[in-house]
Amino acid sequence: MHKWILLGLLLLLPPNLGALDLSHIPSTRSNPEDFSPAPQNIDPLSLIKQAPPFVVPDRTEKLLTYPCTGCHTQGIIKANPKIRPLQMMHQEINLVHGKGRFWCTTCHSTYERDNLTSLKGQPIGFNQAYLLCGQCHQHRLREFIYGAHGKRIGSWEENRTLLNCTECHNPHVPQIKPRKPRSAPAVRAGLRPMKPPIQEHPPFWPSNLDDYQRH
Amino acid sequence: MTKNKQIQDKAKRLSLKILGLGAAVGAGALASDSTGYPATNPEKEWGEHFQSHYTKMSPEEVKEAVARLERRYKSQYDKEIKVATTPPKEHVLFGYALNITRCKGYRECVKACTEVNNQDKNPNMEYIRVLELDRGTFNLEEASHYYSAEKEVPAPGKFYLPIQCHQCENPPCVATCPVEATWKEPDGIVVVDYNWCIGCRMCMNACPYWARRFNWRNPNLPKDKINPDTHYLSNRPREKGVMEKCTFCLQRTRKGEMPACQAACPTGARVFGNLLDPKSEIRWVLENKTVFRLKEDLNTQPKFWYFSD
Repeated sequence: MHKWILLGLLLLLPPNLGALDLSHIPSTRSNPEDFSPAPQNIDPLSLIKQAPPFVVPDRTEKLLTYPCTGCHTQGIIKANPKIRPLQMMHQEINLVHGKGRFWCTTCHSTYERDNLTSLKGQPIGFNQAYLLCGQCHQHRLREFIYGAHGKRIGSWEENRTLLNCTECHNPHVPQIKPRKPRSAPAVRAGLRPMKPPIQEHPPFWPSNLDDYQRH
Repeated sequence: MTKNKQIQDKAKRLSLKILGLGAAVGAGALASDSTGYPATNPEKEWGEHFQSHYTKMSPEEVKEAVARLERRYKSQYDKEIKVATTPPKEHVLFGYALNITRCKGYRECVKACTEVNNQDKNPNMEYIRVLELDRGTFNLEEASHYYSAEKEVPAPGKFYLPIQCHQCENPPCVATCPVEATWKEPDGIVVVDYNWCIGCRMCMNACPYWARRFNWRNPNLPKDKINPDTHYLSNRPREKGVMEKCTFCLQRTRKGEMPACQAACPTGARVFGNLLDPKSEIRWVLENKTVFRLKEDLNTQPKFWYFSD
């Protein structure tokens, strides 16, 4: 008896239910522009214009051999773009950055000696070194100008003052080396330090752990 | 008749005796604590014992309380200590984000915190614990914060997770305090009135982040290590038997400065700011990075997020 009622109800349903018309639902697939890859070379300057304004403390005052034109004037010591072991000056510089792909003149301007240079040859001041770094490290630059990478100094509410990339990273050897931490916490009076945990069973995800240690 | 009078006299004398004894016990209680040891602060003025809860005092009473405290600190530490009562700023809700990829476990934040917050110096009381964990794991019970200061960090295969007070929006420590000595300020900071705290340690028990510290003894605070720039609700010198905790350096942040841990972090792993300001850095981090909070399932709603690159 019930199945006859059910059949009757089914017959009452609109006939086109089986073939739903989905044309009114907007599809992203119809627009090929949605599939275009993200822009690879974001201009650092255009990136900075979108972000809240910030200032960077002067860097040139802290540079020992600045201004470079003190020695590198045109005619006296000309820029030598040839890759070679440095003999007379700047022997302390150990250029690890780029693993052999760079030479001094990749970042230091050949013609305007007191400036850095972009890959396109535009001059960049030493105080705006983040523009230079941002050419390759665009995602870092984006995080830097929005405050997720690098360090903000001074106040949390007023004008933003960010430390330049080169305040923390040596541009020639940018990776920061491990160092000893500050003293371990004191054990509270009357307590003894905790013993290291006893491993009763192997880690849950050994393959996962190996992956992490490899990288 | 005379017999009756004698009995009456005796009763009167007894009642007077009991009254006198009660008064003596009462006075004794003020001069010494329940353990029988002499009072930790003999300089404490009578007014301090009878002052009201910080939020219930009138502006005049607060002024008197601050003057009393400053007088006591002057005699106790032989140093001018200023106790501010800076109110919270309007439309400000403090939040913190920490990049665990950047944190290298240097413990600079821990040291900077102890330098400005007038904690016990022997043994050192620290608000921040930097946990060292194995990469690929997240078992807080197997984390260690006693890792050696002699070995270089970051150690291979390890990552670091600093923990401090998370300034929960739904703080279990506040809910559990039997005397309302701890509460959440309008700018989101959970504070303690050290004069109102009875030292029951219920809040310490309730905190899932091990963020509260108790003064088991009178804090050892040498004169040269005192930070004289203090606030009533944060880093003014504490005494034996009261609870204390991180307040995001309220004495600094309410003036617009960064907390000491942020200012000291050499890697820039810490992002501090106003959660109500849509242009603030913390808001950008929350909107654009993958963030998580510790023990989210407890619904404590911490205002302290962790993120990675």
